[in-house]
Amino acid sequence: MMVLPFLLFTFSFWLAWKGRKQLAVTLFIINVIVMLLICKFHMTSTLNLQF
Amino acid sequence: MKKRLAIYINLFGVLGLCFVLCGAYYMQFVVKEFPCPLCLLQRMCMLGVAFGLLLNLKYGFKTSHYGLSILSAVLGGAIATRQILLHICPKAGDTGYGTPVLGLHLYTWALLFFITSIVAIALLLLYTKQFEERGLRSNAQVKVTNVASFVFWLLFLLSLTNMIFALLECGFGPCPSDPVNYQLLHGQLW
Repeated sequence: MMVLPFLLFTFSFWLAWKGRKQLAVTLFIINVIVMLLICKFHMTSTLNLQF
Repeated sequence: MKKRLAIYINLFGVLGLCFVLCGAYYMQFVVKEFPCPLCLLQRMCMLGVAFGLLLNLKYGFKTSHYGLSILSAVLGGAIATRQILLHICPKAGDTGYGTPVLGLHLYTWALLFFITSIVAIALLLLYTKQFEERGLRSNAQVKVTNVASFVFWLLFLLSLTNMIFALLECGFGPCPSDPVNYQLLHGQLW
């Protein structure tokens, strides 16, 4: 699961450099959504605070 | 401020990002600390900040390119803040995740980095002359393109190697919150 955003970034960089800017930016936006989904999985547990 | 200065600021910004990501590799392979899922997410956001700056170097300056960088920096800042909050009131014996560097943990440095990125991009956006279509003289443009090409390959390699190491560490499933080995090398696919 954690591999997917890096894979999408790698493709985004490659496409951007090869002149496919629109596709690269679209992939980037999809990647941000994927990262938000991963954040939901990893960042929504209760904080263990000791006062 | 000349347009060329804006180009150099973007270039050094991307190079700085590459330096930080290489520093993360130092902690991973020399200090032998496994990056946690939140650490990997922060690395992704740093690549995202670099993506916007790279678009500026390749296609010319646009506010939308800076927008992509800010989007990544805000997300990265939120992730770093969450990691700080995980250790802000620790139980006895919890000294935070990983070894501190110059007195601060890497996620605290990451938050400072993302805040600095947002402020720097905001300042760059104030300089509107960079968005004019008039370009640099051709020889200067060639020099910039060569350096930008080097920076692209550096970023591409960092993204690719991060992908490979994330695959080795987490396999194809969710990453453990406190990783202790490279799961895939121990036959764990998920």
